Amino acid sequence: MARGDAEFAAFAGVSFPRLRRAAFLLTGNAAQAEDAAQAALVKTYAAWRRVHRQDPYAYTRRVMVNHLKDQWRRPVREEAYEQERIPDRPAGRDVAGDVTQQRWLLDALGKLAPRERAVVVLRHFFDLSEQQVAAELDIAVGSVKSLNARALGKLRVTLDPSTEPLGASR
Amino acid sequence: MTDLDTFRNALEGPGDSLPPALDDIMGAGRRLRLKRRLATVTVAAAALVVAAGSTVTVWQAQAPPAVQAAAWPTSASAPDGTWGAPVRTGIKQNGREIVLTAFRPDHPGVGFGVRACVEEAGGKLGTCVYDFDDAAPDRSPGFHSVGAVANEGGTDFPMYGYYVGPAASVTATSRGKVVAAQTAQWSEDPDVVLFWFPLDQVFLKPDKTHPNYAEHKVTPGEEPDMANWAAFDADGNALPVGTPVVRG
Repeated sequence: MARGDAEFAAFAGVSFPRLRRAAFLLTGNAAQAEDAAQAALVKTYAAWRRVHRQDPYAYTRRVMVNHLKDQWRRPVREEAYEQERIPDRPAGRDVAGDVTQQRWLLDALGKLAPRERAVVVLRHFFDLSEQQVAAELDIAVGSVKSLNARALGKLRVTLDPSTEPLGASR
Repeated sequence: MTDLDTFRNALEGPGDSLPPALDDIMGAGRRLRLKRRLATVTVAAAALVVAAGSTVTVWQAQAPPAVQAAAWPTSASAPDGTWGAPVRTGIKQNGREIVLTAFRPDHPGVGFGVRACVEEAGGKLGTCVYDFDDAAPDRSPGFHSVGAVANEGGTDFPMYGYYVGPAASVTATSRGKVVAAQTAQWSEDPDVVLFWFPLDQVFLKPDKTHPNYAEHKVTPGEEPDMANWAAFDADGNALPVGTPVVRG
């Protein structure tokens, strides 16, 4: 394996689980999440010589989020871009998990509008700043603040500490 | 109600060790890369036909004419890898000039590459970015792989590359605007022309979230918007386009 390929393989191995998890939180669909994460890695590999010495993770995250943003505006049956589809694989496990907390999380995220959901994932999963989220989604910082507040309100998440476990009220 | 830390922990979710399908990803990535190259060449070739009329010989992307390529010069490289005389670009970063030099890539079947380097005090070369053509024959007439604008070690490097043929001028369009490259013949072979574009001539799509952006530096993964590559000889005749693929 060429050195660049080995570097990419190492990068993909480390970053893939988190990218797929983020895509799953954004879509609620394990197969779609795997497709999105792998599609982003395909683009990153195609541009690897250009991006590998910079910030390949940020690049891949942007590609994946743009890929999923594009799907908000398209019927599900359409491919988000022309890139060929990678064959489906049998899942190693249900990434949603079967615990109550994860079921609650998915149900709750499913009630959010796409932009609210994206803000929540970028802000609280990727831990991006409000400015970074605004740039990533191409919206105003004020919109990020309001979308985040509205989403957390819908999710019944408070900034105050609580001992009540997630999903306990359901 | 749920507190934010608990919510964030829930977002992290259960661990999952299923690895990516690397063979499929890399195979699809290679095909995507090839498709982009062919698309770039097709656009450039079409533009050349429109610009210069049907008398121009246009090189085909998929079936280049069989030309006996000349051999690369045998002159020795300097201990730091510089092959031939460095070319001053006039572009300065933090008071230090960016120079272009040829080098011999350590890559099978490739005998020539170009790098852009920071010239430190005393003429010693500092940080460099490298580019060479591992797809098309590296000595075929026309453009080859073009190094994208990049930030390496805090230094912005311009878009640069080389052209094989008697190019007196090199142009492309960046978001519709025609931009002209600076050119210099390579000291070891006058039929090889090194070129570069001033940083402010190339339109990029910056990542506004990256810290580099606030410092007015090139951000990672910026896509240059370049098309319609063209080269002309001293009499203004259009020359073969070759494979001008921009990459880092």
